[in-house]
Amino acid sequence: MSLTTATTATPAKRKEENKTWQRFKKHRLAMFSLAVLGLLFFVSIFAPLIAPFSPTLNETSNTWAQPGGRHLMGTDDLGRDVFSQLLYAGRVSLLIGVAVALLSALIGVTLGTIAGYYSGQPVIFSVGLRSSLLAEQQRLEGSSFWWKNGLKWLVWASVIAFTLLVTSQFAATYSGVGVVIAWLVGVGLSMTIAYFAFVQAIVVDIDNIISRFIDVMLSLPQIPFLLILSGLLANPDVKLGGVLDSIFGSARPIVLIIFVLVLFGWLGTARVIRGLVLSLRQREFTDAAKALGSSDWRVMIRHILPNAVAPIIVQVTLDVGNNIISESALSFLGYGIPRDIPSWGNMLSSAQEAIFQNPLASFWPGLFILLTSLSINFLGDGLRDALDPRSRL
Amino acid sequence: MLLYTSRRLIGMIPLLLAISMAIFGLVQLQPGDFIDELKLANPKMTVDDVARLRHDYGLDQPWYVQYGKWLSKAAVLDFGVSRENGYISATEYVFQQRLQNTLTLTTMSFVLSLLVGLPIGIYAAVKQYSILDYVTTFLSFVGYSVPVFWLGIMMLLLFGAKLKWFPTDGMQSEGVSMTVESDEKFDLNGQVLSVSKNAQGQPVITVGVYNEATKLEEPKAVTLPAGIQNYPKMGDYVSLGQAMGSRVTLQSWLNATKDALWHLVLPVIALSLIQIASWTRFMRASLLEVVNQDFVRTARGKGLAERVVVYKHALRNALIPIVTLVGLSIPGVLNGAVLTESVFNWPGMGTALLSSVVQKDYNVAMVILMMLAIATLASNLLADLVYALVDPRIRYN
Repeated sequence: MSLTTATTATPAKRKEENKTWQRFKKHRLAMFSLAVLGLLFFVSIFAPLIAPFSPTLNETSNTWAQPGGRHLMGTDDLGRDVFSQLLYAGRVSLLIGVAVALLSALIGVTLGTIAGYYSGQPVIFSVGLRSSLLAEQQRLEGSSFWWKNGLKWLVWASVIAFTLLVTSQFAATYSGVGVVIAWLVGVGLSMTIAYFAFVQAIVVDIDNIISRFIDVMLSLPQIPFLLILSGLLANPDVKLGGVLDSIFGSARPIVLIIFVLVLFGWLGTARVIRGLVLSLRQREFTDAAKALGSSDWRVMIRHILPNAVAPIIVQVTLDVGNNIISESALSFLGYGIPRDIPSWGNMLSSAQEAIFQNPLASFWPGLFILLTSLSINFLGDGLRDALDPRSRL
Repeated sequence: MLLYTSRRLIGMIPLLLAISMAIFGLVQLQPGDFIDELKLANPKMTVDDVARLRHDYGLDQPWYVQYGKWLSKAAVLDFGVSRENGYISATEYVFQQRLQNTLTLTTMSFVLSLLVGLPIGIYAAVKQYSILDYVTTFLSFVGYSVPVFWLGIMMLLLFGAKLKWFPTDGMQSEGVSMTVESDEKFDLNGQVLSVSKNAQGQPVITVGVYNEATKLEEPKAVTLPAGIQNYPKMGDYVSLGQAMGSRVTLQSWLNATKDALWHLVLPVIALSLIQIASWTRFMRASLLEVVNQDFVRTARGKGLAERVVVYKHALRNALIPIVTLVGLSIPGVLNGAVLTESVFNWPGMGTALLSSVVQKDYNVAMVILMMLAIATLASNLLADLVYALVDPRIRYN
């Protein structure tokens, strides 16, 4: 987002921004949503000042208290004040929604731009000694060719070493024919890698890889996978979990859920941006920048990205809403934020266990989720109309 | 077309291998394994016992070695047993006991949402900027902003708990079943020695009847009436006056079906409301895009009736992207059911997946996740093929 501020605001630009604002103001629902969202953010940020109770204060003699009186919205299973918890939960849910959207945008925009820009231009990962590419690469890169390619060879050598290590562990668990088969497969694989890395060349179309990867990831059933993933990262035996623990301490579940959601969150953004960059790189201004001698990175960052800002903003806005729903879904199923940190999802989950004693307790958290995501969707819709009046939907 | 299909099918094999490896790794690295559960159930187990069991089951080996073993068994369709469900095979558990329930729920809500969503979308597009258009647009925003699990809980509270119109959990009331006891009764005492079928397909059971006079057990064959179910198995004892089994009668079938439909109403509506919202929006956007194109103007220009222009010329073209979306969203429907099933305590795959992960019954989780992945890939292929059938401009070669 810093890209827009980096370019100096000329009068013409300011006028354009004014027009956008005018168009946005006409979208009444979007304006109203903006106000609702502002209020939600305000009460969440200033929760410690507004909330009448601490969200973790247990009145164990006063569980499932009815709304009214001292407790505006009653109390939950441990006698905690529901209203205060809702405000504090807003902090967690909104933080996760915004953080995941921004991180996903960062990854999605980077990979989407690279994929779109280098579409149809393969990238060389290793040049072997007998490859037809050898002479040309040597000419192009000059003296730096040998140490650069040497490094690549080293990486491929370690890949081969790892393959053989895995093979030996496989072979050790089998007996008889199994051992032979394991070694045949392992050695065959290593030799194929060695042949392409050192004799021929490994040339890969980055766009192809990124796009196929996105296709596969998008085709996976998301909720089951998010479940399995957050279960996995909560495992103290997995090294990554331990590392996270030592860095983030008590905030770990929040960081964890952000990580898990980003894993799937960047796919949509990357796909949108890739398509956009594919068309933007054909435009005259890209050719002009290239003709003036700009490097690939400069063309991408200074010329292509600023033209893609509007869709990115819309995408990020809409993502915030989706992320809040995903987070609450995971917490609702018991795989998200643990109950000692209130979030709208886990409040709903514990209220569900007592829906018949205290129906209203499960009404409020859901209403907050609905309000937030509804306002965000209207806001995104308004932004789309204002930033790009030609698009429909 | 055939060549394209077969190439896509072959391309799926490495993809499935990669996906299965990822799934297996993720599932194996979940906290704890079933030995932990055994240890909880049996406090007498020593540390040595635990280590020995882990070694015997191969759980002390790295996940990729375990994956190799799993794969070599999965290649011959052996996915292991479900420990938490009486040690029946995991595939049998998922496919015979769970899949059907999920499919009933999801297909019904999918069809309902298409039947409701598409007409509303068409109507909203035809009458653009009318009050109805604004109302449906607003409602469709609400529809896909609302968390499905909360919607489910609210419906349970209102229609289940408060108004008591619909049952609140599961898919069958207690005491209701498809079958009732048959009127035919046994007229002898003894143990069933063997069970067979005669030429007409009627079950014949041989009962060993104790003869007072000879003090011997004499085999006596009893032919059961056709259509009878749940009759005694070998080794069971039958006694005088005992019903021969149970059978489906019109009354019992009607009762059970009515009961099942009753249980379906709330989950189906909860699941379909959200889909209705997106179908309405897709349909409206797609039709609006087509309506402004030249060939529609031509159709109007040559004096065709508005009905023919919209429903014959515009709608047919607007349906092309919808068909693809329908294909692509079929696996998504299975996926979204996890939340709905857990709210309504529906005994489907979603709840089976959740409980198998909690109970560390990983064979079941593997079967379900693999099945979902295969279903997704297959429906992606199907969507591409149907796309080509609907749109004659697309040719795969």
